[in-house]
Amino acid sequence: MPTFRHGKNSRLFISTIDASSLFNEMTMSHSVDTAETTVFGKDDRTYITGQRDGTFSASGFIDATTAGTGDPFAKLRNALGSTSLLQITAVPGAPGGSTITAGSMCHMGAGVVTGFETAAPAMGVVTAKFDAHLSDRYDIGRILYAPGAARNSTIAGTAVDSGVVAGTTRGGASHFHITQAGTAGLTSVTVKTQHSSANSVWADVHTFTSTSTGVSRVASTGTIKRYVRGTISAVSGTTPAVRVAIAFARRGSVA
Amino acid sequence: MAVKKGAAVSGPWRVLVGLNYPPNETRAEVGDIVNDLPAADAAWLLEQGLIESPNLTVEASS
Repeated sequence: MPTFRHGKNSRLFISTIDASSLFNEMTMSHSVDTAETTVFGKDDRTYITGQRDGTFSASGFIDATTAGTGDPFAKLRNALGSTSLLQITAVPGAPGGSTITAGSMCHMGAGVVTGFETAAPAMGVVTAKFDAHLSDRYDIGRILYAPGAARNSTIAGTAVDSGVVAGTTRGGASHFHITQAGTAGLTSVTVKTQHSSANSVWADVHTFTSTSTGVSRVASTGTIKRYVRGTISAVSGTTPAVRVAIAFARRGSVA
Repeated sequence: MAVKKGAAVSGPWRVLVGLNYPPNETRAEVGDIVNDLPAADAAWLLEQGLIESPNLTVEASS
């Protein structure tokens, strides 16, 4: 019996922004180029695959309550023409509500912003829309840790079981989004992805240490054992209330 | 002295990648020498090159 997800609980992390409360629709497209190989004598066309590609778009409403560095749309507008990529983690129909259930499927990529659009209808809400073209790998992975509340102490997230007893062999990519660092400053926080063969001993896969809000996308090759999880450690500062989203994608045929 | 891959071995171990392990999420950083890793996990950690014996090297079985 399939378990369907309603889109209402979808979540979206863009760089250091938890943009979930700003958007109400998003589309994640994955595709691959095809090159035709049809030769004389064939009644049907044949193709081989080329490079994978991906795009992302989201639309919602302009938040006009903040300005300057607090403007959540500034990153999107400023990204137009920038050489920097925007790191995107999109969780369609995220189960768990404000705290996303570990293991929820997500789309993970870093993209060039190709468009930012604002519309102001006379009889409607001012809307915003942005589009991105993903650069390099557009992964499909799993949320490891994305709580609704901020944290100020160490925690190990719930283990996510791939079901592959021997683990997977093509490496993986981690996304870390620190979207809140605390009102009086954060001295340091370390976030990690870890893997384990039997949900017992956990070995670091990727690590990101930051002293403020920040974002990191890390990929590596090699074996990823059956279980993965996210952790927060070394949280220090006056009021280190950090809000973190951690996701991991296995590369190969298992997400 | 070399240890065959998959052979039953025990610590101490030199940690080559940061580890958390039971009980109580004990943390070991790179370079630490530990004696209390769960024995059942030593095999995969050795195979992955995440730990090594301070005195032994691991070779693939023939």
